[in-house]
Amino acid sequence: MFGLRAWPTPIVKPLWPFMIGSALTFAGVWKLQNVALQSEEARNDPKNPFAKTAKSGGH
Amino acid sequence: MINNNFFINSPLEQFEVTPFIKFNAPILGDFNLSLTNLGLYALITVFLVLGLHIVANNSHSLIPSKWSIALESAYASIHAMVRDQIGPNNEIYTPFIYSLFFFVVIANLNGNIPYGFTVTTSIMVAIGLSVMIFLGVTVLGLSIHGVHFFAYFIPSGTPLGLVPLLVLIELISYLARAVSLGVRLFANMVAGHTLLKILSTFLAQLFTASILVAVVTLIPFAVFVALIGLEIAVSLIQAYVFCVLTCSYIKDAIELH
Amino acid sequence: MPQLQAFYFVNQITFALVALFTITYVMSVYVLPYFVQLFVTRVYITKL
Repeated sequence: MFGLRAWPTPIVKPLWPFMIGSALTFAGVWKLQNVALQSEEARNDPKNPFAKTAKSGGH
Repeated sequence: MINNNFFINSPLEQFEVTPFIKFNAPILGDFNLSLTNLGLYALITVFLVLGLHIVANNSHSLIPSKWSIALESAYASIHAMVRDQIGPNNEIYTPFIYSLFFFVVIANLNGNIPYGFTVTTSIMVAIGLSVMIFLGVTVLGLSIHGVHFFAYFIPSGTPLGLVPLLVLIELISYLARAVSLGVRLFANMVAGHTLLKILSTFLAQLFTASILVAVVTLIPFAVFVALIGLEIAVSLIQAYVFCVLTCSYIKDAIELH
Repeated sequence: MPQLQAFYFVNQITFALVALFTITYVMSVYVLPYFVQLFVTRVYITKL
């Protein structure tokens, strides 16, 4: 592909701590987003993309 | 008269993440799959990095062309940096550091193009990357050394009475690494772009005022052009500093100083 | 400050991590071994 062949470089062997780190970071950001979305000012913000789904779920 | 056809509310508005294609199905809770301007610029960065390496490929010829000299020297510099920082038998981290360097440098340079969005000006990207690297380095150190990893926090040769205080100080400075790496990148990019936005707004109003004011404005405009040069240099230097510090943290985890 | 009140936190970190790991994978499998082969070939030709 594009004149380059695929070499069997080890990817998981050096990078597995960073994959675990990115999974932990992703989980932390998800929890942070959930906490931030429950707050008061997020509900009234016109740019909130989850306002419609939350309102339709409430009604 | 000054004729403002558009409203500029704040110089920080350029950092807002706005969606282009909204995709708001409530799958998995609040998972938002929309294509935002940050997502578009992340994809542009991937495309540019990979495209640069494919176009500058030189088809396996041994004599380098102009493009491939630049890439080969970049590879040699980063390989030398990894070898000097982490050690010659740990060169296996070179692809990760190389990819990190090119991702940050092309993402920063994308923002220097007028009206381009800098991916690293968002907190989640800059500090998320540094938290990921911090957690990865800690996991790496714990997996290699086990419980002996915590001996890193006691520098050799301290008197026994000072050990609790010193452990506390070392622990706090170790935890601060997670945030400081990302905040350094984030603050440099945000400060530079905010300054450029404020100055360019003023200069645009001055240039469109009258012909005499427009000619006199050329002097502050020269300062503005110098600041753009500084921004480009800061983009490159911040990417380099990010990678050097990442290598240093990996070395600390492997070899426990 | 618009970076703090964004509702796209998960979106941002997903795109950033996916972009970084895509670049890392393609580099380590396709691009960087090409450079290694080039440098090693030059050493073989000149030194052996």
